Parts: sequence; structure tokens; C-alpha cells
Amino acid sequence: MLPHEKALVKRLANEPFALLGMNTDSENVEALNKRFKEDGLNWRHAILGPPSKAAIPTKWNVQGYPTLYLVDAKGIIRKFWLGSPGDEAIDAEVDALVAEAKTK
Amino acid sequence: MEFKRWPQSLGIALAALALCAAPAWVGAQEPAPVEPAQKLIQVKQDFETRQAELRKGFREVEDEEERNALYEEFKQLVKQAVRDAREVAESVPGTETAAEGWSFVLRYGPQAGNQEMTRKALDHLIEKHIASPVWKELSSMVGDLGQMGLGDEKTEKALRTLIEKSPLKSVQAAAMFGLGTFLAEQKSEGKRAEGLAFLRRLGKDFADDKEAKEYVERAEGTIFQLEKLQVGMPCPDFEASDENGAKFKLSDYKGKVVLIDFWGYW
Repeated sequence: MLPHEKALVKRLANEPFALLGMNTDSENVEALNKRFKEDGLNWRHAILGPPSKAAIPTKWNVQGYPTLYLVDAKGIIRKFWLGSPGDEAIDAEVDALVAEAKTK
Repeated sequence: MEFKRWPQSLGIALAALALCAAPAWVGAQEPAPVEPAQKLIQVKQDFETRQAELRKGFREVEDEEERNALYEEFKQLVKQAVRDAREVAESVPGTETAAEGWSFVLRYGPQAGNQEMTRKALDHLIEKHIASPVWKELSSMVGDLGQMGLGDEKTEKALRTLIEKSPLKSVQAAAMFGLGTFLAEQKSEGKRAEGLAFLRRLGKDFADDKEAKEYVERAEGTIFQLEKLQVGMPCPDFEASDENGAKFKLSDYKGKVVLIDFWGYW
């Protein structure tokens, strides 16, 4: 996931697109921030805490990791994946929604 | 796809270890002959030991092929253990040892890919051992029964029976959650509505029940997902803190396509 996400963020840097990482590790914010920097994860991450305790994954009923929601420019959920559908599938869906956002 | 599958089976396995460590139940029904009871303990212990070794190996080995080989061995191990446990259970029908044997089969049958045996274990446990203490350790899997592909009618009937007949609140709650999620995924609109009704009932029937808390929460999550997180619906807003401690909202990103990725290094 991570190498592909880096490429995705870089490729769409100037497009109406954002990747939001919903991180569920148990390390504290400082440790995670350091690790993200070392790994070059230069997109925003919500620091949620471990799955068993995290409020948003509990509320959203996240059943496995990764879980992905793709939301269009109007805020509508357009895709949901439990487990990655593969890099190509993600690219195709994201690109289609970015194109849609730019024509409207 | 790097979907995290092993830790899940590990969770179930760890729960089973706790089961093995528990003292043998005495005298809930007629006492079983000593020998099968001891044999079952041996089956469980051997399984536990070997699976702990495999688990350790799986953690330490990096090579994909070696990892797959370990996973294959785990599958063979679990198949054999399920066969052995069933043999013991069938040799002393109606006893508490049988209940423990079937409990092992029900727990590990799905991992062994043996659905027929899993169904059989479920039947035995419901028909002959509904009051057995083994159900205490089974409630976590009862909640997932609807997802195990045991056959629609069979699953529904089993879960309804457990809601009505189990003397344990945790099992009743797990069964209600299992039935609710199972029905909520059916094609018929009537069944889906009934599923949602069961999920809502959990919060009312078990509001003050500590043992049922997990299922009440999971039911709330499932209701939220069914009613607010479906494709075509406006994505619910959330507020969170980022890696720099700054607060942000999903709605800050309106006008952009957003890929929300729940993940972890763990």
C-alpha cells in the first residue's frame, strides 16, 4: 500500500485530491510523526489509537485493515473497500472522480 | 493485497489457549470416562504447542515462500486437531467432554475448511449441550456465525435458538448480534428490516450488561455503517488530530476527492 500511496499523492499533487491516513497504531503522536517522516509519508494522518480503543473505527465498524472509503468532491461516498482492491483499481477510481470534479 | 489475515486467526487461537488453560468442568452432566477427557486435553495441548511454534516462526521469517509453508502447516495442523477432537466427542456422546470436543471443532472447523464438521458441532452443542459452560468461550464466534457460510437456514435457526434458549447473557447477545448482521445482509427487504430491528434491540435488552457490551457496541457500529456509510450517501463528517497535533475535519476537504484509508503499521 504505502509505496503506491506515495506515488498517488505525488502524481495528484496539483489536482483536487487528498489522501487521509487514518492511523491505528499504538505509538504516541511524536513517535508516529517521526516514523512518517522517515518513511516519506507526506500526507495527513488522523492519529486514532489502536483499533480496539479508537473511537472512529469503532463507530464506523471498521472490520479489517486496510479499509478504504473514496469520497467525491461533493462529499458523497463513491467506493468502499474492505482490504485493498489493488493499486490499479484505486488509481482508476480516483482518476475518474478527479476528472469528474474538474468538469463540474 | 496485504490484508491482515493471520492476526485474526491468531486472535481466535489465543482465545482457544485460554480455553485450554481453564480447568476441566466437572459434573455439569454425567461424568465422562477419564480416558477420552485426557485424550482431548492432550489433543489441545499438542495443538497449542505446535501452533505457538508456527506463530513464532511466522513472525520471524521474512521469506514469502517460507511464510506460506508455515501457513500451510498450520492448516494441516488445525485439520488434524479438529478430526481428533471430533473423534473424542463422538466416543462419549452427551458428556461434558463431548461438549468440549465439539466446542473445539466449532471453533476451529472454519479454519480447517471443514464446514460440514462445523455444522455438526453446532448442532450437537445446541441440541445436547445448550447449558454447558463451554458456551462462555464460544460467544465471540457466535457473533460471527452469520459470516461462516454454514448455510442460510441452518445459521438462522441456530442463532434464533441460542437467543431463546441459552442461559448465558453473553451468548444471547452474541447470537442476537450474529442474527442481526446476518439478516441485515439478506436480499429480502423484510429480512433486512428484521436484522436492523435485532441490532437495535441489543442496545435495549442488554443495556446494563457488561458481558454483552462488546456486542452492543458492534451493533451500533453496524447500524451506523448500514445507515450512514453506504455508497451514494454523504460521508459522515469526523474531527481528528493529525500527526502534528492539529485538529481537522473531513469537511475541510470539500471540493476535493478524498481517499480515506484506515491503516496501521502493526
